[in-house]
Amino acid sequence: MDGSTRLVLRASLVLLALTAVSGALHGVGLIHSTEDGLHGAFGIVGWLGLAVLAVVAHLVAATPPRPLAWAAIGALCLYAVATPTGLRAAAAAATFVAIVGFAAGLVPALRSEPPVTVPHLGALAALVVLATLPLLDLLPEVTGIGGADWVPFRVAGARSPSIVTVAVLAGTALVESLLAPTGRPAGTWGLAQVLVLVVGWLTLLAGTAADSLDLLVASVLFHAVGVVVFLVRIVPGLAGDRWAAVAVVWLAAHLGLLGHLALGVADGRYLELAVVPGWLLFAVDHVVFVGLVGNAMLGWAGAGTVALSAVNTGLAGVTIGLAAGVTGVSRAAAVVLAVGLVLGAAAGLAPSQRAERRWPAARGPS
Amino acid sequence: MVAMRMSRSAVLSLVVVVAVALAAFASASFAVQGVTTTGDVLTDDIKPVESLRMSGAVKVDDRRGDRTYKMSFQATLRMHRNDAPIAQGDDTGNWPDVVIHQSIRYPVPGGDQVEFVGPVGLPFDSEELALRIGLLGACFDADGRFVPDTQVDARCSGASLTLGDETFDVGDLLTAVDGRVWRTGRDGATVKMKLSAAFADPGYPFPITSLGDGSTITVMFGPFGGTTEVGRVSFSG
Repeated sequence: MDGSTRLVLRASLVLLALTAVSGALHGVGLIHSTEDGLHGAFGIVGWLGLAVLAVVAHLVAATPPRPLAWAAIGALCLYAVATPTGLRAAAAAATFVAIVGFAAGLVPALRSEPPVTVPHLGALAALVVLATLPLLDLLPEVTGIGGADWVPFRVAGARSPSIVTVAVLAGTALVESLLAPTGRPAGTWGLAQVLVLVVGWLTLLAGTAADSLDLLVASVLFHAVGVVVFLVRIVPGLAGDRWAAVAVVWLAAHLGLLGHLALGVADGRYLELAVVPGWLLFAVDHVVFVGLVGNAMLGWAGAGTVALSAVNTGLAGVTIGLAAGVTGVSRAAAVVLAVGLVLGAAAGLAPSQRAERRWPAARGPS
Repeated sequence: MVAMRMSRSAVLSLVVVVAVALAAFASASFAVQGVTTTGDVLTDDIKPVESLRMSGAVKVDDRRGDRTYKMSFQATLRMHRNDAPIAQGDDTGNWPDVVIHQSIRYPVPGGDQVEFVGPVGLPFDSEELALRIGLLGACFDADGRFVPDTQVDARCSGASLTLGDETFDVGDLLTAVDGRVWRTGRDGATVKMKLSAAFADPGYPFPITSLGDGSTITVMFGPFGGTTEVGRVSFSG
C-alpha cells in the first residue's frame, strides 16, 4: 500500500472512531435530534467515503498523488461537518470535485493494469455510486425550490439507500480480496454480481424519481440477488480469513432483514418509511456498515480479536436490545460496540508490524 | 483428504450463512408481529407514545343556513425518547401525517345485546362507528401550519366513516380543515397540535354529536399514536 492510500485509510479510521463515539452517545441517550446528524455525517460521509477511496486505490494498486489524497480527506471531512448545516451544498460540490479528482489519480494504474477481478470491478462501481451521493445532495439546490412532488427533490431521497449500495459494493470487494488475495479474472457470476447490484441502484434512482413502488421493490430484489450471488460465490472459501468470514455472516443477516423489509413493502405494511420500526432500519444498514464493512476493514487494518469481538457482540446486542425494547441492553451494547470500534481504529492507526503485514494482502492480482 | 476437508468446511459455511439469513428474516418478522398486534383501532400499525393529553369540542353551526358540525382538538403527544429522532419526519423534510380517529359507540333501540337502561329500563343495544380524519404531512409548511387553510384540498385532507364492516369516503362532507403542529422541549420528543375539521350536514344527525360512553379517540403523528377514552365533550351551537 502506498503512502497516499494509507493516509486516506488512516483518516477514515479516525472518522470511524468519531462515528463510534457519537453513535454511543446517541445510543445511551445523551444526544438527540439534530446533534444525531453528526453520527450519520461522520460515519456515512466521512468514514465510509474515505474507506471506499482507500479500498479502491489499494485494490487497483494505484498511487494517487498526495495532494489529491489530502483534497479528498479535506473535502469529505468538510462535507461531514457541514452536512447538518447550511454549508452542505457547497461542501457537497467540493466533495464531488475531490472524489472525481481522486478517481483521476487512479487512471494511470488502471491503464497499466486493467481492472479484471470482481473486487476491482466492485470497488470501482462503489466509487462511481459514491461520487453520485454529493450530486444527489446538490440536485434540489441547483434546480431551484420545489415541493415534495418535485422530481429532483424525490430523487434526492435516494441518497440514503444508495449509501447501502456503496457499502455492499465496497465491502464485498474487500472481503473477496481478503479471502482470495490472488484474484482471478472475473467470471460470469462475478460480473453478474456487480452488474445486478449496479442495476439495483439504478432502479432505485428510477423508482424514487418516478415515485414508483414497483420499481423500488424491484431495486430491493436486484440488490438481494446481487448479495445472494456474492454469498454463493464466496461461501466455499470462507475459511481463508476469520473476520472476512464474520463480515459475510453479517451480510447474510442483511439479506434476511432485507427480505422481511421487501415483503413488508410489497404487502403494504411498510408503504411509508415512517412506519418501518426504528430497530429494523438500524439493523438493515448497520449490519452492512459495521457488520460487513467494519469487520472487513478493521480485520484488514490489523484490529485484534478483542476489538472485533467487542464490535460484533455490541452490534448484535444493540440490534436485539432495540428489537426487544430493552433499553438497558441496547445502551450497554452501544458502549461495547463503540469501544470495539475505537480499539479497532486505534489498532489500524498504530504503525504495527501486524497491520503492515496485512495491508498488502488485500490487493488483487499482483 | 484436503479436498474432502475443504468440502465439509464449505458445506458448513453454507449452512451457517443460510441459517443466519433465515434467522434474521424470522426474527424480524416475529419481532414486528409482536409490535403490530397493538394496532387494534386503526388499520395502520401504531407505535405507542409515552403519553397523550387531549381535549376536544364540537360546535354545531346553523348561522349560514347550511348546518355544519365543527370538531376541534388540541393534543400533546410525548414520544418515547428513542422514537424522537424517527418522529422528526422523513428525508424530504415533510412533517409526518396527522390522523384523528374516533371510535364511537351510540345507542340503538332493540338489537341482539339489549340492555335495559335508564330509570324506566328502556331496551337499547349499541353499535359502533369509526370516523377518521387525515391531514397529509406534506401539506404543513415548515412552521407546521396546514397550508390549504381557505378551502378543502382533497390531496391534503380526507375523511372516512366506517359503519359495521363498510367504510365510506366522506371527504366531500369536509367544508374546512385547519391545523398547526409544533415540537416542544429540548429533545424534540413532544409534539403539540391544534386541529379542526368542519363537516357539512349529511342529512341525518352526524355521529360526532353522539360522542359518549365507550367512545375513544386515537391521535396519530406519523406512526406514533395514543388512544384516550372520551370523557367530557364540550358541545356548543
